Amino acid sequence: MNFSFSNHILEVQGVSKYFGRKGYIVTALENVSLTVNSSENIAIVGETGSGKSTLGRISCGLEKPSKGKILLSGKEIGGYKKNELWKITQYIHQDPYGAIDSLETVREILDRPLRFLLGIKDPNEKKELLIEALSSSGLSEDYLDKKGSDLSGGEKQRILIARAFIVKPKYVVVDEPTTMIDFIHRDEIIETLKNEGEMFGATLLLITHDIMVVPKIAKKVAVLYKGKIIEVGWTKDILKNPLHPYTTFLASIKPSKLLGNSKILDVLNNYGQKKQSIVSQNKGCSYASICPLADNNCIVNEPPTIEAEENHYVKCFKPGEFQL
Amino acid sequence: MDSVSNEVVLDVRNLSVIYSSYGVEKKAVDSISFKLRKGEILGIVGESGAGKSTIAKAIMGIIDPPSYATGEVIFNGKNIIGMSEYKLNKIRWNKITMIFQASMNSLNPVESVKSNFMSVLKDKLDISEKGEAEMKIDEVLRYVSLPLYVKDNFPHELSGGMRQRILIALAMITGPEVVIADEPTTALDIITEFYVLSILKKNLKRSGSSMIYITHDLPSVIFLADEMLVMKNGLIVEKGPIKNIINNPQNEYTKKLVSTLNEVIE
Repeated sequence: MNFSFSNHILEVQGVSKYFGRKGYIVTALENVSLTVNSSENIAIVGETGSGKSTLGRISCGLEKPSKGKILLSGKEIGGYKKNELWKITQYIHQDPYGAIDSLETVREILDRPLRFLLGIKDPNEKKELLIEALSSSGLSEDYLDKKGSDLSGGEKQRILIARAFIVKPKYVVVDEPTTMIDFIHRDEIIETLKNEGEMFGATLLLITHDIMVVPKIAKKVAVLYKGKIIEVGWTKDILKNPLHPYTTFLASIKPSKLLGNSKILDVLNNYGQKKQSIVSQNKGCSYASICPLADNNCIVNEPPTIEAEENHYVKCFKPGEFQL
Repeated sequence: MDSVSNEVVLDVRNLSVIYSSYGVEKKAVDSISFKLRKGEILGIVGESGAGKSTIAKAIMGIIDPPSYATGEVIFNGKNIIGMSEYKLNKIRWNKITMIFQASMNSLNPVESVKSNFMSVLKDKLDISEKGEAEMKIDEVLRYVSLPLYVKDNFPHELSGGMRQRILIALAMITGPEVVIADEPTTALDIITEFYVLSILKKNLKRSGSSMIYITHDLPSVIFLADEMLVMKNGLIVEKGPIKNIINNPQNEYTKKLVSTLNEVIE
């Protein structure tokens, strides 16, 4: 095998993805480039339709890009054989209710990757790995003989996590792991994911619309808007000092701010009203039709990506000017 | 808070709901009591299986036999529990309405938004004259900040946030005294969620209706509600004004719930 000495687990190079047929084309991603270092979890944040799930699915080979390429561990993702690929990378689906067969036992669910990907036949070794996988996602051995239908949403999510990490992958994509989970159990799931990643040496790419969950798990964050990365950098920097107007807005959507600040409510109201009447535009900034700061330049020209502070990139003509 | 009066619109006393299936009975809600005042937004918080939605079903009178509810829910001086279907139908969807979580299931998919509204207007307000109905629909669509062209759309042509606002408009069109909203925004992204909630809040303030807001999403309760109940396993474990509970939770479960929040409310 040809090992790369670079520290990059994932390189996304100029990736675009188009969906559609018969002249009706939706651009899900437009010229996205992103580098993820080993053991530096990254979060992809964006609203519905921003392309975050598409980016996640392309980055682990579930979908092919229309343009550009993906390097995983230094090797182009198309060059991997299927069973080789799924030993390196895993994908955790956002809907645990749909991803787990309610008639199968946990043993059967977890056995499949062991059999097909790792080729383990020895029953004792198998049992050891099954128990290890369960205990590291916070479940006891008793769960092995439970059926999918006996599990709560949180337990299902834990089984999905165990199933992904049982092959000891290097790179795991987690799509909205907490949206289907009760609020009170969300932190536990995030904690479990973080621990598993550290324990098995896997780098996580977390897809979420909730920017508040990011600092709990990811050192870096990329904000997507309409298929483009508009801001990327260290999570701490971005939350402390968001530079793109959209990120600034997103980071202020929480009750303690909303209740005491009528300006945010106005922006929220304005955003909701404009969003429903937007016709997609080809040129200019993708946020221009909503942005309170947008001028003619923003509408006509696409802003360049600039490094505003060290390792903090933003795609905006007026970084940091919008304050809430 | 200033718009909340002391007049009680819904008085729930010792409400229990027992689900019965093949002779096996299970108590989903265990002898709970609370009061909903005029103009008040009451949040009911808890994890799935806590009994939150069951309370809503009991108040709406949609617990199907052989399951049953006991206790009292007093609305306008009359007990709703055990009321005949004929009497209940005069209150249900009219004086007490409900907004559901799954907007795609709540709207008729093969009818336009306008006909979805028309059936409510005809059944509940006895309005069938076209011009009058149209005016009424336009009015409520404006209240929820939707463009008027959505009347001619079918539900699947609209985004999740738009559909959820149609449900709010449908619930508000009869001028209800009590609105029960069961997880109305769980399927939405965070910006759309708070946008829809701010519209809901504005509409309640305008009409003076009271609301029971059911959710497991604590931030939205803080944003919307005046008071909250925390439920676990069919019981109320804590109740009180939002600020008190968030800043000074008493019950162990509530403490855990609040600790996930990392926020202080002034």
